[in-house]
Amino acid sequence: MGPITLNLTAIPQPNTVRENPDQVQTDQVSISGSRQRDRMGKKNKVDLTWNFLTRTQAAALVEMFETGTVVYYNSLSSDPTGELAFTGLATYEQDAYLNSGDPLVRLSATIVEV
Amino acid sequence: MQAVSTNFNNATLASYREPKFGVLISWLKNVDPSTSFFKLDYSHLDGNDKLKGVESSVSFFDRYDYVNESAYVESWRITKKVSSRPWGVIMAQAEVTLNNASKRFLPGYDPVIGDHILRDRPIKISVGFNGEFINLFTGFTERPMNSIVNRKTKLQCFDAMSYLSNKKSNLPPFVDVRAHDIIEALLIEQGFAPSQFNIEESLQQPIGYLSPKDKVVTDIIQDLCEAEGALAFVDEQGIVQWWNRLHSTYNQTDQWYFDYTNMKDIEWDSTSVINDVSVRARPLKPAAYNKIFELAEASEETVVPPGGSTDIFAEFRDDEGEFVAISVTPPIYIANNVGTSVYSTNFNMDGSGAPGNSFITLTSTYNFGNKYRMTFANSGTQPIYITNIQLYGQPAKVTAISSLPQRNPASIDEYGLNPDDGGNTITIENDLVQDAVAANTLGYMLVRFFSTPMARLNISNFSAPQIQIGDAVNISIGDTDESLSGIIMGYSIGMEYPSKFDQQVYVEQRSSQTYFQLDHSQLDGTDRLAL
Repeated sequence: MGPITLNLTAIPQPNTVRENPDQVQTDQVSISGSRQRDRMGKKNKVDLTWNFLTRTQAAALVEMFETGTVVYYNSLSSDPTGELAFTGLATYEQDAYLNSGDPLVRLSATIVEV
Repeated sequence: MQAVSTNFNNATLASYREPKFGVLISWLKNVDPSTSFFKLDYSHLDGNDKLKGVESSVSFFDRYDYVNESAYVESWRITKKVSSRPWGVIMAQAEVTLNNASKRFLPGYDPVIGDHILRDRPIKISVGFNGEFINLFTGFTERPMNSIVNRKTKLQCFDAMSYLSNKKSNLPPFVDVRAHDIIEALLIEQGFAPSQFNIEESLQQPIGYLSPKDKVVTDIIQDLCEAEGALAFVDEQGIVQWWNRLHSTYNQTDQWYFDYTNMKDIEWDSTSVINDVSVRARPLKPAAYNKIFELAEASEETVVPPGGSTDIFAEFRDDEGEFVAISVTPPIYIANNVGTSVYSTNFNMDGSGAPGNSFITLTSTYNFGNKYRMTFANSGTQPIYITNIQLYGQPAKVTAISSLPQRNPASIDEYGLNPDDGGNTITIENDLVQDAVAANTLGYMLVRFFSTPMARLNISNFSAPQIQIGDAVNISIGDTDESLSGIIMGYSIGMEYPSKFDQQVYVEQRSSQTYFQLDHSQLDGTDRLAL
């Protein structure tokens, strides 16, 4: 997997990356079951998960998600185009610390194209 | 049905569509006098010339400078519906929700439009496929509603008819003028050009007398609609339409077909049963030039003080009640009546003194219609009484009209007398109904349409934005193998995330009676003569 950057900054590579475009469309179904789809387009969306981040690494990512209005996402290993780059809004969720000595944390984030 | 290309129709019916919309708002409400409109073989594609609202005319709203706010729109919805009676003034409403995360629509925030986040901003909503757009709404915004927490701005909008509902007429009385000419005159007075309205011909005699002064324009149009059984509305392009009562009853080819493949649901109701109607009117009719007022004796109210003046009002009444004077000949001083407007004067209230008329001058008059003001001035040094006034002029007098009882006995036997109106005869009182024929027709029309409950359908359908009020449609009910003919009486259409482009249409079933049309119907055929 090629490097993923946020705001053109190198970051710890996530353990899982799920590229799941948001399809802006609605299917309508008639009484007889006929379908009609109205589509406006799609917006890129990625779900990122880091299983083990140090507190310093997690804090750096959280700051990136909380500072400024948008995040610039860039991945060089996207399928099928090879590269996926877009500006999006980030939301994140941080789990409980995994141990008490040198705590590690699990972090997940979703970035949706504006 | 709005006129659209074959490609647009095909795109509407396709299983896969990419609908686009436009919401244009003229925040600054600037009118650009140099606006030029696109002409074939003349204008440049992607140039500055604007597309007109409709092909054939420039609508009242086309010359505003609009800003395209579509990128901020989260949702929009347009609703337009005829009332339960098949006449009146219809006004469409629209609601637009804007994303205001950027604070663009916060009053006072944006350097260009911030001071113009106000009510009465012209707005247009259009929708289309594959680059071809049709206008769906033309109107004005109410005051924008901002929510700081939700970062949303909501615009409640009313169509161009709301423009007329805020305007009062200042025109002189109409005398013996057809209803359609009255409406055209009112619209022209309010700044509409003849290409900006489409007024069908009135189906009754000229209106004998109607004073529009200080009356709200839509109130006058509403009364004319009721008197004629007509519909008035502003269409999707901003063109004022006035449909006479036969507009929707002439032969119409079905313009849209609904069946189980393009309907998502049908809610079934029925029209109210109306089987007994009475119409009453007291219209004013011009009468011959005659004596219309007489002041027989003086009083303390008719004395003109020395060096001063007195207003004397002549109020026009007869045995039928109040009437109006279309014209009044101003009185002149003559001691004896000679069959024209005159007044008499005297130093004594009982007329026993000298006339003193050389000191009295009629300085001004004003005809209010139902009364006439005369201002007399006294240049002398003693009080002088106006002892007699006779006014001649052309009156418009009340004529009492009642329709014949319009009822359907078979319907009364079946459903009872007007079961949806408390079992009482429905009485329509409108003084713009000009004669018994019009009164009978109005009552007959209601009873004929509604004495039998007809299907009223609320259909959720695959959206077809070109559908308009008044369109003849056919609905195929698969469960009963029934095919109904109906008229579109309203619709609600809108878009919201994610690309939910939905529509409901309100359809009323109509009997299949066809009416005779010149150059169309056959003599001795089945088409009946319209009333």
